Amino acid sequence: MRIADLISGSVLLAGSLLFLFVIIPAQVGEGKWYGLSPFFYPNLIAGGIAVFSLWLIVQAAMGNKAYKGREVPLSFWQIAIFLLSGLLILGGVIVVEHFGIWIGGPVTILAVMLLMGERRPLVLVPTAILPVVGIYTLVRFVLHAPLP
Amino acid sequence: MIGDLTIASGQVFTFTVLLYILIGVFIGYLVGALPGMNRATALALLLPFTFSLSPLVALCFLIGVNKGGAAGSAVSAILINVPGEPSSVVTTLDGYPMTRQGKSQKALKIGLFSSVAGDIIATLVLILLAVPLAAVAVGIGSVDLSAIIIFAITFIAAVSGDSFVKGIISGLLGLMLASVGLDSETGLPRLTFGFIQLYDGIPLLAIAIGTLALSEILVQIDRGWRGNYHHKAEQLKAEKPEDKRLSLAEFRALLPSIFRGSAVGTVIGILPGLGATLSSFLAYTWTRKASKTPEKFGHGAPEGVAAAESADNASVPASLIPVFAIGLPGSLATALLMGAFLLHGMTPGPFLFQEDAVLVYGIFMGMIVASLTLLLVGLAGQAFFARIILVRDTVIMPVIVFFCIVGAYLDGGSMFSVYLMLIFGFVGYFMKKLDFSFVTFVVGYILGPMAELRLRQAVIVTDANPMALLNHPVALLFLLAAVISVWRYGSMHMLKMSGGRKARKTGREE
Repeated sequence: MRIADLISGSVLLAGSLLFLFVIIPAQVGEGKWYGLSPFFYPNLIAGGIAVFSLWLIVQAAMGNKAYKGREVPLSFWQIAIFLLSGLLILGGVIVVEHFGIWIGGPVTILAVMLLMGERRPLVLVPTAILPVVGIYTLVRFVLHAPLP
Repeated sequence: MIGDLTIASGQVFTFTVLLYILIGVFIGYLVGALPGMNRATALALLLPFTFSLSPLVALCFLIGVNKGGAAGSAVSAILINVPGEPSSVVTTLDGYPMTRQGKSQKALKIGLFSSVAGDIIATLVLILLAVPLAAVAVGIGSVDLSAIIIFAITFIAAVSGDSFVKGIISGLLGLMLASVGLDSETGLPRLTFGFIQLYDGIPLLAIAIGTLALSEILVQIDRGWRGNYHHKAEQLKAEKPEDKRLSLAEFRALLPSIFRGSAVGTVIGILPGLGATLSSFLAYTWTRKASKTPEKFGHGAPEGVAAAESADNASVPASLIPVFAIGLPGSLATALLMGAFLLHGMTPGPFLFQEDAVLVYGIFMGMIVASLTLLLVGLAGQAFFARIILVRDTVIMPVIVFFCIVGAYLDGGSMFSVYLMLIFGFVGYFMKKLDFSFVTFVVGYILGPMAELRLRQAVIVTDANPMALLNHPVALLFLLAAVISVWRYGSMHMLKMSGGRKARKTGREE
């Protein structure tokens, strides 16, 4: 956890400084104002994040003993599973975007079910189809809203 | 007021509103009963489905979900020793031993009746307190309100996670995300990176569904790969007829525990960030201390279940008191309910009573109806909910992934929101793994626009002179409380991290 805190603190500190000196000045539209500058609030918040990120780094650097026995939050294996599940869900979203929910919905549900170890066809098939039918009916015919 | 109440009752007691309350309570109960799911996730997923409903129907529905979720979490806690929500951890202490003694149905009934009693008591307190508090809150100026917001975020950061610093950072990240979009004063685009879709800000649902629902599924997938996705039911003892019922005498004996739990839940629920988990722990401890047979606690004491469940459910309506009075959410679920108000074009807070009193009273009446519906759904669906908790995560989680995609799409009707939701899902996964409080994050995001507006007004009013705060004693008080929170929780954590002052002193002596 200590290393994780050091890394996350450093990433947040770098990010907040990047926001303060590069992104906020570049990403606020040009124009005139008479009250407070539109930079005021984001600068204040980014400054706050920088201060507390530094605090987190110092805390992690000081706290050698206190971190002993604390579980490592992310192992290589966990990151691999996260990446795999993230990619599968992203793939599902891309299929939904290009082929609509009638194909994208069952594909996404099936992919995640298979990833989670479900192998029973009698569970796979209805679970992949019934929620899509239910949601389509609810959204199109009850809520009258569009679907991809 | 009487006239508003009459109109409100006419609007609430219609087939549509009552039906939506019933559906809301049922879904909430179902989600609460499922281990790994919680009511905040359900609220985030169901919010987009309320867009086409009128504000009153939508809010009554979501309040039903919230109440149902709090009560339903006792089912899995009692039957399989897995709390549906963190706040039901305390219920497992005596609820599960009762199940192992063959008294599961009695324990479920105690849980349900206590939940409903706690809920109704706190709802009545909400109705009695919200109106006078809102009347006082109307006079609160920008300087005072800015200080209250700063205090609320600091306090929530201090109590909502293991690390105070990470909690504060999470809150600030939420506030930063809220500044994306057109600047409220000048109309200039800010941090939009050229995306026109971001001119209205980052959609609330992309953040809520991503960080609450999708990230939780990613965590569950990971957990499942290391364990399994199936919750096994204990081999239950055969239940005697007297162990299935809860007699009137038994219920009467539980009343002191229920009142104790309701009182603790109401008081703790009002305070930001403390929430249901702490209130159920405190109520349980108090009830055990007050009991003549404290040794029975932890081995199936019905009073333990009653105290924990009444406190858990009392904190749900109580947490809405600051939302109605000053527009400040103190928990994840109330932040989402406040988001629902905003999405339906209303700003919760003291002015809502002046602008739309009928709606507010309608919501209050809807809350009472939801409490009674809870009893109906809990009693009628006891057998159903006892079975549904055994459905594998391999079936539930993939379907929720699909709901996440549809829910994000419904907010704006474009795939842009879906991709944003994915990004926040991935960010939320790391936040959960690295102990960054997503409660403070979401509360920060919801409060962001109000925080910016009030802060800017405060800077202008005080002419950016800190000494001007001396003219605002309320603001001074809350800022002092925020500084004390930072000092107390921040330094405490620093000391813990460095092994404690005593350890350091001993080390120096050595």
